[in-house]
Amino acid sequence: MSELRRSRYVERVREATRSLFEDLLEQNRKLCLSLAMLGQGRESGPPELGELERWRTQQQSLLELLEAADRETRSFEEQVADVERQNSNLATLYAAGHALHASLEREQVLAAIQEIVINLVGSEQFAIVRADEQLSPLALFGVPASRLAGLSPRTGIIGRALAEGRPLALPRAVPGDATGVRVCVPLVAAGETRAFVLIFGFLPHKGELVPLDHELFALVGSQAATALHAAELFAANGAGSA
Amino acid sequence: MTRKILLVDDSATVLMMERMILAAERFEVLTANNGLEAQEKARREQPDLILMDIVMPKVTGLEACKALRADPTTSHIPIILVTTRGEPQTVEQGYEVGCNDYVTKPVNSSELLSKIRNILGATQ
Repeated sequence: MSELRRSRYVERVREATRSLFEDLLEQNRKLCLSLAMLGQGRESGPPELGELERWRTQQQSLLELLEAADRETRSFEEQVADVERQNSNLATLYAAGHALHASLEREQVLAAIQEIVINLVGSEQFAIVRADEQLSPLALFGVPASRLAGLSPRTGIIGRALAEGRPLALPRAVPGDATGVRVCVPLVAAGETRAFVLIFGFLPHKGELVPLDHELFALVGSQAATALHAAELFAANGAGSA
Repeated sequence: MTRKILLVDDSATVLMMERMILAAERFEVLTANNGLEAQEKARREQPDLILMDIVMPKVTGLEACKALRADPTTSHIPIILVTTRGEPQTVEQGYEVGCNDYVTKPVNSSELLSKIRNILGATQ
């Protein structure tokens, strides 16, 4: 939110308040006048019907003015909250991308993927596996290796994610699905799926997946594979031991 | 006046994310990677608020919170704990060692900023 926009908004609110204050003073003056007339034994008679109607109209205008100011304030607050949310999402994606490319050590890249899934997505039950027929585990967190038994890269959510080459997420656990995989993120580099991140569950307090979660899955899917590939090339060239 | 916040987490990714969110709101941000470093920085820098992860190596967030409360030079500093677990038992432990509030991971920025503003507003 720019300073100019804030100062313009503050100026508009000040102007509306000033106008409201002046109207209230005018109404107060008229009421005092009426009371004075009544106190004098109604020498001048009751206020005319036309005068009462004008007062009612003025009061209606004031109410509408207040409602408009209230609506504008709410709209402004929503805009501020929206900008904060966007800033936060960008910060999260930037931090995740930075973490993935901060090292050329394979273990560090795997640790970065785990940090993202635990801290930014909110899961403590997941596996990072190679995209081979056995789905060989590269890292396990909160699940035993036996949890991978029976999983195949050809069927279920993993098979579909592999075929489509993009992350897939189930909004909720599917009854009767023995695999229990809720999210499958294929890690794709140079058009080839090299590994998968399989998420089996989320932290108990985490509600539904939000758009930022899907952005994170897409980022991990594209950037983690590149980072892992770079780390493997780096190790294969013997640079790590130089 | 710029308010100073000390972020404590062993995850560089989380520290970077929290730093960016708070810096955008014009807070001055300091960081520490564990509970021990947090105690040292808190004594030296006297931040207006500490945002601290619970699960950390060396000294956990709960232990550090207890130590900060026992130290007269840091006992007044408000502490928000960050937990991956929102269960009542974890939350209760946090309050027992003297935290002012808590947030759960993954951190919701709106909730976090609201809690920080509430606490800093109340201590002004």
